[in-house]
Amino acid sequence: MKLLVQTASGKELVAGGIAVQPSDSVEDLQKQLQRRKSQYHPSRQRLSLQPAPGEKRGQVLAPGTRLAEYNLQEGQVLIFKDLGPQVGYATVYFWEYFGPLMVYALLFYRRDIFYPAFRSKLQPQTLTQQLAFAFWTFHFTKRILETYFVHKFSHGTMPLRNLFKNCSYYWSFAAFVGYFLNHPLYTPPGLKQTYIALAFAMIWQLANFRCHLILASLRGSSSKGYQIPRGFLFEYVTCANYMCEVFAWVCFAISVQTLAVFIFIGAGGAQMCVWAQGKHRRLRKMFDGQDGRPKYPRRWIMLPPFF
Amino acid sequence: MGRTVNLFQGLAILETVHTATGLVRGLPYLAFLQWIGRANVLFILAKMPQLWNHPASITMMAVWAFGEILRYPWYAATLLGCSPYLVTWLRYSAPIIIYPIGVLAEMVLIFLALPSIRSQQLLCVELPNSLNFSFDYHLFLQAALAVYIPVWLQLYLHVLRQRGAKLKSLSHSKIK
Repeated sequence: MKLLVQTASGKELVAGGIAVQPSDSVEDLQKQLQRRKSQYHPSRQRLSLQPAPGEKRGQVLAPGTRLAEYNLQEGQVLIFKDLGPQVGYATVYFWEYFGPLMVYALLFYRRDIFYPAFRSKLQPQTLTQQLAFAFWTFHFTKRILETYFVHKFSHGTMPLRNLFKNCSYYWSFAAFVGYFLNHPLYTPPGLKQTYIALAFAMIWQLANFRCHLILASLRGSSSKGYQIPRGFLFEYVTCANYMCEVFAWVCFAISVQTLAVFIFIGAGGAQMCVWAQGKHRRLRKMFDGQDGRPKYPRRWIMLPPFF
Repeated sequence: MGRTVNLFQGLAILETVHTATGLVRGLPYLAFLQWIGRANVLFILAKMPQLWNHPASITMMAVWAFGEILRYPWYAATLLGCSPYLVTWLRYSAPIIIYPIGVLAEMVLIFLALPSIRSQQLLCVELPNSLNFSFDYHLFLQAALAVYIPVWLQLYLHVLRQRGAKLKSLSHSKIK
């Protein structure tokens, strides 16, 4: 059958439409569209049905589904939106986490470059600074490994500008934190404080890892189907993974007693709160207890006992 | 007068709160940017009595006052349900001239204050200290001046876009 493709303003995108079979997948349709309009790689196409009365936006044709699932009629109009140049999720994650590893290592190993005033009187790093370097490296290596071996992303790609935005954030903060932690005038707190706080930080890191494993297992069955997270800390907190991350960083900040780390997790935590609120709302809306769906249990959003 | 301005500009943080809670339409991020920009200038001004009679600070205060005189009556009118076209038009059109003058005055003031800030070591925190943090206000302000225009442009273009949309929708309803 033939499907017509229009932009949101009603202009026809491909003259005469595209011929498809109901058994075709959404990707097949997108590839055909690309053959007609070569500048639109499938990952930047968003095709949706026209909005039903009362809807602001029509149902999106999700990748990984068959066209038959949308009950399409002959000559039906699909609305096309160009999502702009895209980049893979894993690619973005890799570069935004690789930067901090490099930046911090540079500051650790080449203090002569970055603290020129102290070039002639550099002492070996304190034990605390070495532990901080180890923790930082461990943390971002963990993140990279999780990107490739644990996380199951909801989308394949994101807009290209996110690559630059995210990298700017992480790399700048890496320089900001790394500058103060590796400074020749860095003053460590007592070793007892460092050891105890760092131990807790590692515990929260392991907890965070377990949370990630649980989240990854949720996406096993259906491609986009959300499920209520269960088990471990998810019984009490919707975004237990964010919670563990924040707690780990706060413990690390205490272990090195450096304001810059508190500022870093303050910024990151604030962003996570925004995401957590969205996720919590989405899950509560989806699992409303009607029509046989389970009801989303009462849980903290991200940071008990306030939020 | 300084204390009054400081008090009310301080209270203006509520604008950020209002947009964040949804009481008022707008982006909390932009409201916060504007607030922090002004708070910064006022902080500097408070420490620099020699600048109080400078044309730049007088201009800046006048410009801010004008802006608020046009904004708040519009907010009040909207909340009361009536919005006379003239009030709306003024509220959205006056910023076109007022905003650039204001931002220029702010930048001039910051620039003029720089030498004094350096000699006073204002807000300067040095290493080593127990929180392992250092801050150089002088350097910070230089960086701020460098990004002042691009950041302010976001606010400016936002207001212009709002104006376009608002006046367009008003003319449509007038035609109806």
